[in-house]
Amino acid sequence: MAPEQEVFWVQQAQKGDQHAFARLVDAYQTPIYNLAYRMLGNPTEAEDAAQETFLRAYTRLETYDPSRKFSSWILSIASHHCVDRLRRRRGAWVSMEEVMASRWLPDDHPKPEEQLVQRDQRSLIRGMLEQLPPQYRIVIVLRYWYDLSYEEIAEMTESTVSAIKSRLHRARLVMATQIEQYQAAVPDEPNDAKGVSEHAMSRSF
Amino acid sequence: MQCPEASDLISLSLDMPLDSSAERRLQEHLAGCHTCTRERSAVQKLSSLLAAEPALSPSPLFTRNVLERIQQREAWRALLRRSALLITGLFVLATAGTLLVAGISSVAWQLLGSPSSASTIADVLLRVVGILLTVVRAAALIPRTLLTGTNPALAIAYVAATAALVLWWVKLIARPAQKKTW
Repeated sequence: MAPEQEVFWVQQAQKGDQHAFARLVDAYQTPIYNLAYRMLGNPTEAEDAAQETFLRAYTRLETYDPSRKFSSWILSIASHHCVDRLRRRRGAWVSMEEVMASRWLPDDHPKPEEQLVQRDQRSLIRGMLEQLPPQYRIVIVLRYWYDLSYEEIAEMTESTVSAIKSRLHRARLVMATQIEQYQAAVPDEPNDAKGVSEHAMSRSF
Repeated sequence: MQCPEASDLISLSLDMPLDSSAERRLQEHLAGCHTCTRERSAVQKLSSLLAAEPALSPSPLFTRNVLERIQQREAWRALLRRSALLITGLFVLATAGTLLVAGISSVAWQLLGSPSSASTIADVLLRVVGILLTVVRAAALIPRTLLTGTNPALAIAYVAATAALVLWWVKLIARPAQKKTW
């Protein structure tokens, strides 16, 4: 969707035109759905969270400031919604300090029971994300799949650039540990990313 | 350079190019530190793995489902708004009814306490009819605003104006009755 076209659809939607809003949903459903999927790890819940995101956007359309990018605005609503959903999940969250402390430090003796946990790339990524507390997970998702700068992520999550930097750093350390475990567990296909992802795609979901 | 600083720089270097002096000092540190070299290779692998993860597609009915949910929610809100207006209307009617009864009984009380004549009775009856007409008009206004009013502020203004009108009528009844010597 061209930017001037988008501005037009947003204006029409602000006047209550649902057809115009449907165009915006068409344009942004894939990025919003994927954000929800990376955050929540479950396709059904992701679909529901993504729909809820658009519902919230629709009811708050008059608060949208056209000087901001529409994509940033809608991503920010989705981020808040997914973080809230994760926080509401049953069971207390383990703090990042505890995650960091319990992570298996890279050495040459991988724990045997962890070697077989990660079987393919997609479940490896999901497993890595699931370890992270919500505020860390959203930073990784926005950085890697939406290619946003520290400043943009800070604005979107109502945080500071230095906090984003530090969260990215710690989240990476935790995830890198799991990469090493994964590679120690599957030494036969170490860098054949194509083979691994094909295997992941063929899995029935 | 110590390991914690190197670790910060390794993470930073994945997001933006380091300036040349930081890059040089990091390389010097990595040359002599096995742990940091290993960390860098692990986070680099992590980055390429995450970047290679393909996007998924939402269900083909996604947009239709969103619109359906919007319509459901709007219908629910309209219902809530109408019920709120209806309750306000009933409240105003009840208040008006109470005031009406109070007005009639005060007039009747004064009639009982004074020598009745045909003219005062006719006068009182006329006023009672006037009050009744006002209340009927008020009652008619409420369903009309509910049916046609899309603007809740306007509807509330109607209801308030009606209430004021009823009050004014009742006052009109009560006041001259006190001044006159019946």
